[in-house]
Amino acid sequence: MWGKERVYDFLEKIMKKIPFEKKELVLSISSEELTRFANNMIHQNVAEENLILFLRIGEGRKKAVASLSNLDSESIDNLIKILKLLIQNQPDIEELILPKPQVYKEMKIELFNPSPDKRAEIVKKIIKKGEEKGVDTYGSISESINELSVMNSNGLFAYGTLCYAHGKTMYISESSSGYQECAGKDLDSIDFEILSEVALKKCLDGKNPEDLEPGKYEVVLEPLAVVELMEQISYFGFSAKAMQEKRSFLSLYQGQRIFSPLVNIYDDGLDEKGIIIPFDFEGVPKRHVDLVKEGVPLSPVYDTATAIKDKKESTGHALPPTDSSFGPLPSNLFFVPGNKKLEDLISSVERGILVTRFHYVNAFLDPIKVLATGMTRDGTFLIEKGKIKKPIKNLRFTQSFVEALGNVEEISSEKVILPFFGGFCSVPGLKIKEFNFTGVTEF
Amino acid sequence: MREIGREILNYASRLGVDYVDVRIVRRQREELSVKNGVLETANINETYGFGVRILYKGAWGFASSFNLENFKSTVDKAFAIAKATSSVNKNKVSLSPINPVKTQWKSSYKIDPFLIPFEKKLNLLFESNRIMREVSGISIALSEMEFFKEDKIFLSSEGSEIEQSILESGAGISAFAIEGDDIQRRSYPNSFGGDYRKAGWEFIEELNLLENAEVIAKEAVALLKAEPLPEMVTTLILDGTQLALQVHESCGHPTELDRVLGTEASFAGTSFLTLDKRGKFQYGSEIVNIVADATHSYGLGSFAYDDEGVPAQKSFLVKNGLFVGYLTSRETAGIIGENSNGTMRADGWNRIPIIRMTNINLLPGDKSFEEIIESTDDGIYMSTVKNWSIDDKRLNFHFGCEIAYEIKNGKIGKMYKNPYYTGITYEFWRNCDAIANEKSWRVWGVPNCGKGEPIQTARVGHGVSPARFRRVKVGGK
Repeated sequence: MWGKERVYDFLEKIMKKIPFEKKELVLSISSEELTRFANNMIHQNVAEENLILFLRIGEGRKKAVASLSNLDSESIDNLIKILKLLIQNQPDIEELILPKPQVYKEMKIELFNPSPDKRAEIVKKIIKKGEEKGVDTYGSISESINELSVMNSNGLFAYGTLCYAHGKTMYISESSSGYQECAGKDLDSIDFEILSEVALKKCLDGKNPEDLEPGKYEVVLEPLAVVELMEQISYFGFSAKAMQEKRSFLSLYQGQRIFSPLVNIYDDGLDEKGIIIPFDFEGVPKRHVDLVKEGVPLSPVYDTATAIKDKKESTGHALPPTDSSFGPLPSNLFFVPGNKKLEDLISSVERGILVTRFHYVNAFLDPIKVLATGMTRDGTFLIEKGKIKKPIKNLRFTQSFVEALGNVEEISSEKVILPFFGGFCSVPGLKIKEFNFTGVTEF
Repeated sequence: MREIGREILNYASRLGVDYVDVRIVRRQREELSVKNGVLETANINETYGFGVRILYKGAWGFASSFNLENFKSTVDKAFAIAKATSSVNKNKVSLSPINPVKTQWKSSYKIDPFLIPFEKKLNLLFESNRIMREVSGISIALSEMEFFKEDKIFLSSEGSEIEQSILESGAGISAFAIEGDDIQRRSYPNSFGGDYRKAGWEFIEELNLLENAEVIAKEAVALLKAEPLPEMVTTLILDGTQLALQVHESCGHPTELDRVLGTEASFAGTSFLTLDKRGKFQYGSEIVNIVADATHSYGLGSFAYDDEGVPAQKSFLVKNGLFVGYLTSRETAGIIGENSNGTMRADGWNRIPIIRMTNINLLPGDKSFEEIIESTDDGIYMSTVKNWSIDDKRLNFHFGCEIAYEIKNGKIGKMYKNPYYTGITYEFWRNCDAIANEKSWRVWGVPNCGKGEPIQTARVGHGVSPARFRRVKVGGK
C-alpha cells in the first residue's frame, strides 16, 4: 500500500512534468493472490503485485491515452514524446472533457493482508468434505487489495481502496458436478462451509442425469445463472454509449414497461450491502442509478463523455482510460430480491427446470434483443409438481434476455454477491416462464 | 534484462527449492481506432515486470511484480506460497525433462509499425471509415489497428537462458446498419478487430482495407432487407474466418491437456477428449488432419521456445480423422509419460504460464474452393464470426455468422441474415467431406483467447481453408 499522501505527491510530480493543456492521471496499485485447486490438490498458487499509471491528455480538439507500469523518468519522458506525436498528427475532432473537483463521501473500508496459509487451511476443509463422499474437489480462492487514485488538471483528486475476496467450490463425480461461488469483503465474510455443502449436495444429487427434450420450460434460475443474464443485459443494454449508438434496447424502450413489474434493478457503488467502490476511473463519485423500476427501464449509466452528449451528469461509471472507447458500464449492480425462499419458487413450478449455473453465454447473435445462447452446467434438474424430480443432462438455450426479464414470475429472497465487469453484482434467483431450450449435450 | 534476471535466479536458487524459473517481460502495445469519423482510441501501453515460479517439495508457488528493484520480497512471496501449497498436497509435481539452452530469437517482419508515422496510420483509418460511412444506411463504421511488441527473457535453475522478441500487427474494419431492433454487421477481413500476424506494417498494407470498405458497408445494409436463414438440416460450407473459430473452440481447447486432467474444471471446464480416447476415437472424417504448429512463419501462436523453455514444435492432434495428440506442458506431459510439446505461455510478466494453443491448423485438402462450391447441389455458405458458445466439455456448440448465402446447383445465390449452425463436435467433423486446397489456406490471428484464473488472454493462430460439412442443423432467428 502506498497510502494517500505518497500517491498524491507522486501524481503531483508527474502532473507538473506533463506539458499538455488537459491531463488526467490514474494510478492503480493492486496486490492479488489466488489459490486454485483441482483433483484434491492445489495446482496453482499465485500472487501478483501490479501497478499501472494511465495518462489521458487533450490539446484543443485532440486527445490520446497512454499507460505504463515502469515509472522511471526515462520511460515517462519517452511516453510524453510519443503522446506529443500522436496529438500533432491527428485532425481536430473531439475535445477531451475532464470532470471538475468532486466531493467524496467518507467510506470505511477494512483492509487485510492476503494469506496463502489461510487459503490453504480453507482448501483442506473443502477437500476433506469431498473425500468423505468419494468425489473430487475443485475450485479457487482469491484475495485482492487495490488502491485507485485519480488526479486531473481541473484540480480533481480522488483516492480510494477496494478490497474483496472470492471463493469457488466444485465437486465432480463420474457422472455429475456441483458448483457454488460467492464474493465478499474478505475471506471471513464468505461462508465456505455452506458454499461447499451446497456444491457437494448438487454433485451427489446430480449423479446419472437423464435426457430431457429441449423446448420451452418454466425455469428457476439460481443466482449464479442470473448473474450471467445480468452481465449480458448490462453489457449490451445499460451503457449510455450503446444507447446513443442505438444498439441498446434502451434506445427503443426507455420508459416503457417491457420487463415484469417485479423487476427492480439499480446500480450503487456506495451501497454497503455490496462491496464499496467509491468513485470511477475519472474520479467521479458513484451515484445511485435506477436502471429498472417496476419493470420499466429508466436510464443507462454514464461517464463524462456520454453524459455531455445527453446533457446529463456523469453517474460515476467510467471504465479505465484505455477501455474508455467502450463507454460506461454498471459496476455495482443490485437486482432487488423478492420475499419468497428459493424452495418456494421451486415448489410453485408444475413442470420445469432448475438451473444452477450457465456456461459460455453469448448474445452477439442479436445485441438489441440480447438474444443469447449458452449452456447449463454443474447441476441441472427437472422439477415436477413442485419437487426436484431428477437430474438432467445439460441443455443449450437460445433466448432473448429482454424477453426473459419480461417473463419473470417470482424472485427469491436469497441473493449472492458475485464479481461483475471489474465490480460486483448482487443477484437473487428468478422464476421465469417459457424459457427456450434449443439443444442437448451428452452429460 | 539478462543481468537482473540472473540476480533473481541466483537469489531464488539459494532458497533450497526443487526448481525455479524467472521471466522478465516488456510489452508495448499501440491501439488506434476510428468510429464514425472520431478518433476513439489512441492508446499507447507499456508494461514491464517479472514473475518467478518455484517448485518446493513438489509444490508450486508463483509471484510477480512490477518492482524489479525489490525482487527479493517477490521471490520470498513465491517461496512462502509454495510452502503453503505443499502443506495441502499429498502428490508431488514432477517435470518431464528438457535440454537447457542459451539462445536468442526474433520474429520476422519487414517494416517496424512502431516507426511508421501516426499520420500514415490515422489516414488509413479515417479514409476506410469515410468510405464505409458514405454508403447510405450505415449507422456505425469502425476502423481498428493494433501493434504489439514483446521482449522477454526466460531463465531457469536447469540452466536455460532464452531471449525472445515478438512483433505483431493487425487491423480490420466493420460496418453496422441498424433499423429499429434489427442490427446487422459486416466486417473485413474478420470481425472483432480484423486479422493479426507476426509481421510488420507490410501486413497492414496487404490487407487492402480501403478496397474492401465499400463492399462490406453495402453488404451490411443489404442484410437489413435479407430474410433470416430458415431452420433446416443441410450441407454447410464455412469460410476461413468462421472455420478458424470452429477449430479453436472444438479442437484447440479440448486438446489442452490441463483441461483434460481437470485443472480448468471449475472455470472454463474440462474436455470430452479424455485420456482413454487417444489413438482410438474417430474425431472427424478421414480427410481431417489437425496439427499444433508453433513453428509457422507468421502465426500468432509461433515462437522459438515456450515459457517453460521447451522448443517450438509441430505435432498432430488429429490424423486422418483419428484423435492422436494433446497440447502439453512439462508437468502434464510427465503425467502421461511423455515430454512436453511446448505450449506453455503466460499473458505477460504477472501471470503464470499455462497450456495455450499455438497455431492449431486444419491442413488443406485437394479441391479448390470453387470446385467445392460447384460440386454442392444444395447448401448454405456462411462467413465471418458473429457469436459463439460451446459446452464445458466442448461437445455441443452454437455459432452465429454475419452473413449466409444459399448454394443451389453449384452456384452461390440468395443472401440470408442472422445465420447460425449448431451441432456436436465429433458428429460435425465426421461429416466433413471437403477441405479447400493450399490456394485458399491461411493462418488467421486470434488475439483474444481467454483462459485461466486470473484470466489470461493469449494470442493464437489457426490455419484453415474453407471446408464443407454434410447434415448440419442451421437456422436464422
